[in-house]
Amino acid sequence: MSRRGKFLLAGGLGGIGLIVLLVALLGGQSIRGHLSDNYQRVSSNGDSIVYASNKKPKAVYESIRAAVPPADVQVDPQGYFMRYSDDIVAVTASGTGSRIYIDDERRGYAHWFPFVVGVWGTGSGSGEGVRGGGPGAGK
Amino acid sequence: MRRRSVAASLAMAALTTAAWPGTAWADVIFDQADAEELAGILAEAHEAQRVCYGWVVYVDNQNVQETSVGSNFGAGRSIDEAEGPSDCKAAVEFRASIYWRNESSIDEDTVGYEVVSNRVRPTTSDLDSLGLVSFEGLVGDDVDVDVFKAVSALPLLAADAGVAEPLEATPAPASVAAAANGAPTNSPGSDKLRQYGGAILWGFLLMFGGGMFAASALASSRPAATPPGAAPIFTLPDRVPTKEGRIRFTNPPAAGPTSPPPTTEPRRTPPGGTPATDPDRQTRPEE
Repeated sequence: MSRRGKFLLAGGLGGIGLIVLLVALLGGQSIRGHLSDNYQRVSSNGDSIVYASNKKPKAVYESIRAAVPPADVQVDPQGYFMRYSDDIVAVTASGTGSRIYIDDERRGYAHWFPFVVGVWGTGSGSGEGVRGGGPGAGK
Repeated sequence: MRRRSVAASLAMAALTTAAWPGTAWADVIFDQADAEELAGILAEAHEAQRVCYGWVVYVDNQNVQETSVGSNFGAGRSIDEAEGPSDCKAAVEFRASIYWRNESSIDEDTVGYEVVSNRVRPTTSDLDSLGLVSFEGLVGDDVDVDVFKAVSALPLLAADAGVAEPLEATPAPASVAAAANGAPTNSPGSDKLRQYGGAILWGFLLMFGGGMFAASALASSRPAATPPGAAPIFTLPDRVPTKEGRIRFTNPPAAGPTSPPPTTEPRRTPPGGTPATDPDRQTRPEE
């Protein structure tokens, strides 16, 4: 390959790599941005926000999970619980539709404590349940 | 590890059962507390929805067969133990067959699972769409985690299919977690890396590849040609002696009227004498 060809290839590879890197680092959407853009806000209290959807919980859960993959998911007959780096999202039924709750990690853990205790954190009586295996737990 | 421990627990359970019948726990998937917790979750859903839920997981662990059974009626109790139609307006069960093979065996681990219902839905594809169960999870060491999640999701699937009323969760007061000294642990890591980790890695690899090509191009490049009018770095002398002692012109003067004048000075003939035989030798006037 000629010297000029090598320089052209080097420039092309470097340029494409830089574009991919910038899109990956600057693009995408956070879980809070995705919920804000796609669901109707019902109430808020600081970092805790409640959204509503007329879709069933399963459809809402699948949509959120596909858009912003969570680190871990727990399920219970009453709802879906998704853990992100700084937030916890819960999707539960509300009439014929759904309610979507997003809280920061500490408040979300407290809100959904009965469903995630011993899995995403500590708490008296949590023990080492089988539901463990969340992020970093050596699943 | 899991296989050895399962085999060991089965052997221990068999011994314990023989010694103290009725006190041993020999579920191949769950320990007793987890099985009872799962059965309790199903019992709560059954009480609210009047739908029966259960699980049957058959495990062939290197030709040692065992089955894990449970339902809303209790751990170790099948969904078939319903007393009558009034008990279950519908029934939904998670069934799986897992075949663990010795690592030295040519046979691979295999697994199959399905959601069985006496209604059209929910189906296995409904469960698959939740992304809770995987082949790797069911043949791995933490099969209990995947089975627990799959069975816990059955009431959600039934509600989505219209077989049962959906159950609503309400946030607990913060005082509940505070009283239990509850706090989140094990940070889940960056959402950005989880979402775009592959793209970030590819970006770095492409940039690295570009850098390597650029370095290769620089290393193989030749010195630039001498521009016109610039002094050459090295030139051959006009005349080079050959082995035979003759003079060879490396840049012979071109013939013709347009050729430039020769660079060598014309020979000098000493006044009144014969020309010198050596043109390079300086002749001195005789004293």
